Amino acid sequence: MRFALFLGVLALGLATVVLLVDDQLEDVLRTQLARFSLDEVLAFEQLVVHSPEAASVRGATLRDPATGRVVAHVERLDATLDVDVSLTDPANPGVALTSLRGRGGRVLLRYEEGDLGLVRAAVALVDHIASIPVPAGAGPAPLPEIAFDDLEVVVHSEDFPLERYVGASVRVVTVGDPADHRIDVVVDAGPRSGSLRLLFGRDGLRRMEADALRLSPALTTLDPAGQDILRQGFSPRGYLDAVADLETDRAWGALEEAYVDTEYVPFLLGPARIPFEVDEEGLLLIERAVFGFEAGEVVFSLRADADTATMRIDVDDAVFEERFLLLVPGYEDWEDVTCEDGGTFECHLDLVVAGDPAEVAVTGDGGFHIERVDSARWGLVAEDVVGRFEVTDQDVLSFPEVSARFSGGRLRGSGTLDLADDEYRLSLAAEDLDFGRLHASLVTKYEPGTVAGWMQGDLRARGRLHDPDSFLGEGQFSVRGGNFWETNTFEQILKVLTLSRGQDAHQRVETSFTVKDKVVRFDPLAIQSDVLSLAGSGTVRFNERIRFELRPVPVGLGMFGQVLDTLKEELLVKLEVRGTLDDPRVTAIPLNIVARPFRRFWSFLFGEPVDG
Amino acid sequence: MIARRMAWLCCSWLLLAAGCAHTVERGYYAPVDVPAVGGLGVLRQERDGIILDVACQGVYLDTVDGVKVRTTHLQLDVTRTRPTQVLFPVDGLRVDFIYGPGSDGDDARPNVRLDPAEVWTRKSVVHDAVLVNPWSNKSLDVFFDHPDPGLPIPPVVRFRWRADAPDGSTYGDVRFLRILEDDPRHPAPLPSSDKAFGVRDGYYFPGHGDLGVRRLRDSVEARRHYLFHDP
Repeated sequence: MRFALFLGVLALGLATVVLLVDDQLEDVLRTQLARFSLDEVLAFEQLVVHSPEAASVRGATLRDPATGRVVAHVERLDATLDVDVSLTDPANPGVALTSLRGRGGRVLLRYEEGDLGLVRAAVALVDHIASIPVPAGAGPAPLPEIAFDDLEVVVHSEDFPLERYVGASVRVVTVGDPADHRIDVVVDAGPRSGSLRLLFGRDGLRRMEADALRLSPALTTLDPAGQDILRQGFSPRGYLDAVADLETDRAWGALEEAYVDTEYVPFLLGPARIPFEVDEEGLLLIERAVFGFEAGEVVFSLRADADTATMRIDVDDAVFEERFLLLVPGYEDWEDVTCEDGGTFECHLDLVVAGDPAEVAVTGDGGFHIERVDSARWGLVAEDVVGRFEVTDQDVLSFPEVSARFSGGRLRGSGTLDLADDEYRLSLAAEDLDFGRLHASLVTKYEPGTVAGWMQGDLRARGRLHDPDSFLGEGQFSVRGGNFWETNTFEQILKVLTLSRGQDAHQRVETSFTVKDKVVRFDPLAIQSDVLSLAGSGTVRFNERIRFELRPVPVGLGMFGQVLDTLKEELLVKLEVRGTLDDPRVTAIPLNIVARPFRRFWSFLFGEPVDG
Repeated sequence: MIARRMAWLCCSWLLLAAGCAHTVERGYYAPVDVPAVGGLGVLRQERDGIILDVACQGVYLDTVDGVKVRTTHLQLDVTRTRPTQVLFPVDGLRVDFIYGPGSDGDDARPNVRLDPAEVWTRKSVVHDAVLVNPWSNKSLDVFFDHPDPGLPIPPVVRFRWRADAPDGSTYGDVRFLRILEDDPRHPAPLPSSDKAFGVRDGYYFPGHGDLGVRRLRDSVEARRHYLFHDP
């Protein structure tokens, strides 16, 4: 790409020299360009000849001979030229140019991702120049010795400048016997930008040698044969040490301090050293390119031809960073979840990119240890989240086992995500959670309270990412050894039943639940304690609206005193709980009809009850 | 005759009352260097890609194969944070009862070394070594038995462990100090929440000094540590 620019400059220089011969030589030059087919590649708007030895060119353009698209544009080339010209036959203005020197100028190179037009244009231009015949009778003449210095070169995308080289220079040197047409073009891209040597022979460009050439952002220079798949997915930048031997169709070298911007990874990879080799068949091989970054190392290997690219990515023992989770489909939707950087991470992925448009098939596995995951919305924290993952060739991402410390206990889970249709399935078990801590996180926001208990449960669910309505789940949980009368709902129940809390700490809740249509249905629901036991069912909607119906049920032996009084007065009611989780409203409704069987039992035990 | 019978009856009642009043002592422990907060104390050791949380459920009596023994019950929670497996050989787990000098200046009672009698990972018994896979977690219950049920409860329990990974072995050493009733970490005078759950504030059947027969109790629930007693 860059050498094409300099070749463009070179061509413009030549054109300028021709025009210097005479004030009227602009027309002559255009004629000569057409004569040698150079006008397919090179054109200019204006040539100003200041003196026989000085001129400037404006609006010169270099075109892709295949498409006609402008690939380079010379904004200005205000060069002062030292020209040594000899015209052996003014009537036939073939030019025998011995030397050409210039200084200063600004050239814009237009770069479009995935386009090789610039390379084609540059090679065509030099080929044309090398094949310009010397005037008849002049004998073999050396090709011009050309030197341009202090050029400013801007590589420009459609929207913005990508790179700017200041102080670049171009040297064109004839090597050996002029009859062999061997030309070396040495492009010094300026401070810290490296150099590029282009070696031309009778048949055109035969070899390129890059020495610490600053490269961005395309693989184009490495890829004169056009490997579209690679260019679609990868965009490396760095310093190139490489040799491309066009006579044998081989290339080899390395990109140093390289960064790769690829659509398959949502962040920049690098820095890295990327050794590469292109063989006679056009097969590109990258063996164990090691990308070092703060979190560790990524080892990357690639095998690619014009149709298919096969990649291997290995990350071992890296420090976990939250940005890695951007690779997990749907993670961007977890807005209230934050994973702290810290822990460890590994993955081993094989990617096959093929087709047009390119499709990616991924397989592999890995593991992770995330030190801390926060949910700001719920006030929940999971620590030491460890797990493994696998990506199968069926496009399924699975987590065979994930566990985390959570609320004094442990969560264990497994799940799958179908990458094709975003359908997921998960299974989650809660083991020995501290219900008091959980309640404090969810409800009181860590205000101290007496709510206590140990909780266990499980959940099995499925649904589709980005579609909360599709969530279906079922499970059960229980809380034991508890003291949860201080929770909003149970406090209201006690109030309605004119019961005091009691001092016991063995309250117990057990329930099974289903989740469908954004409604969690608890059925059955049983609450047991020394002072009261309830049974019933109810729902909690995702909008936090609640609706429960509960019936007091007989408690075990020894429930006398306050409990006995309560039973006499309140037993034959059902409790309706309405409102929201934050603002529950409890009402007692007489159950004279539905409780008739129980009435008989009550009468059997205690005589006729008092209607509620 | 009646008087004699009444005497026997009274004696029987007295003996029964005495039996009921006798509470078998149990030693509760808290790990050294862990802040004194309520509930069971857990010590974390983190090294070489292993996170090990250790808690001591105390030194109590229970019955194994019909024989009453003095048991030390440790609960381990192992997390492997590396891509390689790690093994915890059973013979790499060890407990020492450390008595130290007597209160009256007597020579120290000799330390007692105990090897694991039973190692369980959830519902599975382990014989040789506990395998912890990469990026996973495993919970262990380890019982160290001494055949003398009258062995005094030690003031210090020392637990040592070894883990073998492909890149070498890792060693750990944890000391637990006995805590008394006035210590905030001592379990509250409440029974476990219910027998099927068996735990309160992290303590395993608190309040029981003799837990009876030891065998895995059936459970359909997913538990980190299952129950092995039914006191």
